[in-house]
Amino acid sequence: MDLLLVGLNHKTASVEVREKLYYTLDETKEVLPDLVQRFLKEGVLLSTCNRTELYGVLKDELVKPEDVIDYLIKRKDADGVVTRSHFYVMRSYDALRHLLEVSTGIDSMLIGDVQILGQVKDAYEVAVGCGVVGTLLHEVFHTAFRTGKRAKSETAISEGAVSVSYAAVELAEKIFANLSKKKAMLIGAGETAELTAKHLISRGMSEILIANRTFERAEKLAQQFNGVAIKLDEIENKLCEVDIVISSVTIDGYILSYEQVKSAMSRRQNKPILIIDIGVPRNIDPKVKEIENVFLEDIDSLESIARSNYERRLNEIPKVQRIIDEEMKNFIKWYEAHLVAPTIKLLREKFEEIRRSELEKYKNKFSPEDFQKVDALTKTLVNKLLHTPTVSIRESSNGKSDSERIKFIQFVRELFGLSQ
Amino acid sequence: MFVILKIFKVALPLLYIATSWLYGRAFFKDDLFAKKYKTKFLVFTLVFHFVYLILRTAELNHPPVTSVFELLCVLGFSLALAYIVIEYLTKIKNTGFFALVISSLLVLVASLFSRDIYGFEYDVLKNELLAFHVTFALVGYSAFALSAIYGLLYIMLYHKLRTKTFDTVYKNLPNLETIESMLHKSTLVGFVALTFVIIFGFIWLPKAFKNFSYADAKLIGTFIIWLIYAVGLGVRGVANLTGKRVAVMSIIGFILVFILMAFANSLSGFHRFY
Repeated sequence: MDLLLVGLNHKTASVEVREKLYYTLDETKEVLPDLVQRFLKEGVLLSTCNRTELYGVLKDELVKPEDVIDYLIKRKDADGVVTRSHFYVMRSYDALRHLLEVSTGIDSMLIGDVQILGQVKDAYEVAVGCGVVGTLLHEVFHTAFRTGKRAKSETAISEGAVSVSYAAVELAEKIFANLSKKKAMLIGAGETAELTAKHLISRGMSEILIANRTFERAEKLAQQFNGVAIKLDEIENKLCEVDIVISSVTIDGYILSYEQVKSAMSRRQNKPILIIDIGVPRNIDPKVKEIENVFLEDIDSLESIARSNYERRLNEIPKVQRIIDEEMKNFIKWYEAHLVAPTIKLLREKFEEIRRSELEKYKNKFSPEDFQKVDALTKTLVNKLLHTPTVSIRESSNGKSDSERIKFIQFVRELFGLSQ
Repeated sequence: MFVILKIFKVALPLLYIATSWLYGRAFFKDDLFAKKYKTKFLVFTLVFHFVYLILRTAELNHPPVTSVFELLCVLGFSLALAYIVIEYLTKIKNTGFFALVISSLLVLVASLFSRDIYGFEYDVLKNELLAFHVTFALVGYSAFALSAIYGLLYIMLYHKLRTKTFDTVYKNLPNLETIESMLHKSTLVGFVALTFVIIFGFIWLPKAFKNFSYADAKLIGTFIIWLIYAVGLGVRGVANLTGKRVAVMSIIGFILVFILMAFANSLSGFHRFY
C-alpha cells in the first residue's frame, strides 16, 4: 500500500517543538494544496497541540519523505528548533495502524482523549475541501472514524474524569442527581476552582455565588460565570443555601470552622453538602467531615479519582487494540479486493460460470462429439472476449497510485457485476 | 407432569443464584461478560419462574398462596420482577445484586420446604378477596425489601465518599440523591400496599374464619409493621430527615418486618395453613 505518514508527536518532540509546527485549520487550507502539488498525489494534514502528522501518497519515486519534512519545517520558519530527528516516518499498514491508534485516543498524551476523533475529522474535511483526498485516503480515514467510534462505544477508553477539575464534577454528580437544581459557592479563585466552576456550569448548574478577598475580582468572575459576587464575610450566612462549596483561598487559619458548618447544616435541614477544599494550606477545618451529611473532599480525593479513572482507561487499551486489529483486517480485505490479480480471477470465474451454465442447458441437444467442439469453441470465445479487459486491468497497476487503480477496479467490478 | 414440576423446583433456585452471581460479578468486578448478559439472564429466570408458577397452579389445582413457603416463592418472583422494572425505568443497571440475593434466598427456602399438594387443603382460600389481599401483601413486602436495599446502597456510597474509597463499587453505584428518592418511593408504595392488605384482610377474614380473632399474632404483627412505617414516614416528613438516617431507618424497618413476620407466623392461630 502506498500510504505514507510523516509526523511528530508528544513522544518525539517537546512542546516548544510541537507548537512551532502547529498548523491551524486555516493555515492547513493554504498549505495543503501547495504541499500536495509539490510532493503528493493526495494528502491529509492533521495538526493538534500534541501532534502534526501528514498522511499521504508520494507523487513518484523521486520524492523522498525527507522532502516533505523539510517543507513542513520551512513553511513554519522552524529551522533550528525543529529538526528531521523529531519526525517519524511510517509506511503502508504501519501508518494505517498509527492513524487508528490516534483516532481511538490510545496514542494521545491523555489516553482516551475525546477530542482527537473530532480533530481527525476536521483535518479530513479540510483536505476534502481542498480536493486532495483520493480513494485510498477516503477509505483510510473512514476506517479511522469507524474505529474511533467503536472504541468509544464498545470500551471504557474515554470514560471517567481524568483531570482534577472534572473529578470534582464527577464527585458532585455522585451525590446530587441533577446539578441544574443545585447551587454552588466559589471561595477564592484559583485555576482549578475556576475550571471546576466552568465544568459545573456546563453540566447545567445555574446558580453560583463567588466570594473573593478582592471584591472586584469576585465581580469579574461573577460576570464571567453569570453568578453573584459576595463578600468574604457573607460566606457563613450563605452557606446554608448552597449544595457545593469549592474553596481555594490562601489564608491563615480556616475560612470555615466546625461550628459554622454545623450551624449551617441545621439551617439547611441537614441536606447533604459537598465541600471541596483545594486551598493550600487547607481552608476548611478537617473536623467538619465528622458532621453528618457533610462530604469534605480535598485535592487528594480529586487526584485519586482522576488517577483511578485513568488506570481504568489504561486497562482498556488491549480491548481497543483488538478493535483496531479487526478494523485493520477489514481494511486489508477491502484493499486486497481492489488488487489486480483477484479481480482478474473473479472476472474469469464469472465468465466461465456463465459459459458452463449455458452449455449445460444444451447438453442433450448435441452429440458427445459435437458437444466437445462447442465446449472448445465457447472456451476460445470467452478467452478472446476477456483478453482486452484482462490486459487493461493488469496495466491499471503500472506506474499508477493505489487510488487510481482502486478507482479503476471499482469501476470494473461494477461494470461486470463482480461481488466484493 | 409431577416430575417436571420437581425439576423446575430444583432448577429455579439454581437459576436465581446464577443470576445473582452475574450481577455480583458486574457490580464488584466490572466483569464484561456479566455486564453484557446479566439482564438477559434475569429475564430468562423470570420467564422460567412464571412458567413454573402457571404449570404448578394448573397441575396442583390451586394458586401458590396456600402456605408460607409457596408465598415466599412468589415473593421472590415479585421482588425480582419489581427490580427489573426499576432497572428498565431508571436505566441504573448495576445494583440488582442485592435484590436478587434476597430473591434467591426466598426461592431457595421455598424450594426446600414447600410441599406439592393437590387441590386446596383449606376451603377458606377459595375467595376472590384473598387474591387482592395476597397481591397487595406481595407488592408491599417487595417494596419494603427494595427500600431496605436502597438504604444499604445509600450507606455503602455514603461510607465510600466519606472514607474516600473510589473503587469499582463506588463507580457502579448511582448517586446518593437518586438512591434516596428510590428508597422513599419504594417505602411509600410498600406502605400504601400494606394499608390495602389490612383493609382487604379485615373485610375477608370475618367471612372466612369461624375461629377468627383480632388478637391473632399475624394481625397484630402486620398492624405493628404498618404502624412502624407510618411513624417512620411521619417522622421523616415532620423532622425533615434526609440522608443517612433515612437509609438506616429503612434497613431497621425491614429487619423488624422480618422478625415480626417470623414470630407472627409461628404464633398465629387461624392464619396459617401448613
